[in-house]
Amino acid sequence: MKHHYPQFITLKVKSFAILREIIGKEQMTLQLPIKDEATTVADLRIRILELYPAISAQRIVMAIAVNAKMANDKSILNDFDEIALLPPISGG
Amino acid sequence: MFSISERHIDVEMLLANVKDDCAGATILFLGTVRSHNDDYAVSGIYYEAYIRMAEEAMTKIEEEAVKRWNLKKFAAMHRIGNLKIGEVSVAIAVSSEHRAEAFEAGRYAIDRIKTEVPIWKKEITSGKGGIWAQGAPMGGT
Repeated sequence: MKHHYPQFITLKVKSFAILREIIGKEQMTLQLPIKDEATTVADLRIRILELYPAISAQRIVMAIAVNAKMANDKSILNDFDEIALLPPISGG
Repeated sequence: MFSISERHIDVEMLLANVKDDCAGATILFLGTVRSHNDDYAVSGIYYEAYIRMAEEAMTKIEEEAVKRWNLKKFAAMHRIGNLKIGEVSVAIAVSSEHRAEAFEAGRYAIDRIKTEVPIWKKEITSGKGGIWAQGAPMGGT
């Protein structure tokens, strides 16, 4: 019997403040190819920066949270994770 | 106790939340929207938050402050949405046995909110529409 495995993981990506304005929507769905080793936050970062070159052009430091926890570039992504793209914060 | 809301911050209610018969000191910090920043006029501020993560970050700050200064009670609120000049954007109330701990804990809480809680402000200016405030990178650098 032959199994068909999904080729992509699907992520729910939220963005805030200046990143939300650049991207043009509060939330989007993004698919990343599944890699043999693992799909990581670094892969997602590359994809976002390719899609929205204004982020690099405006030199915005973009932090990434996965399921509301701060992640680093090595953090592994799973299907249906909630991603948040966070510019430098300025509350208060 | 921490909450993020689009509604006006009720300071009396916040103070009621830190009332404690064993407290000899209560401090209240209010952050308010000012009409100028550096050399330009500001007509209001728009705030937004990643609420899920902001609430978790604030709970951590509260727990650490309460433990470190042995506080009686701690309560904080942050507004989101469009605020006018003079409106309260953030409020922190702290009660403790003596005043020194209350002052220190209040200062600690607002400093950490500004660097760790995912909230953003956009200053509304007459000419350019708005300016996102320069902030602290999340996770520190």
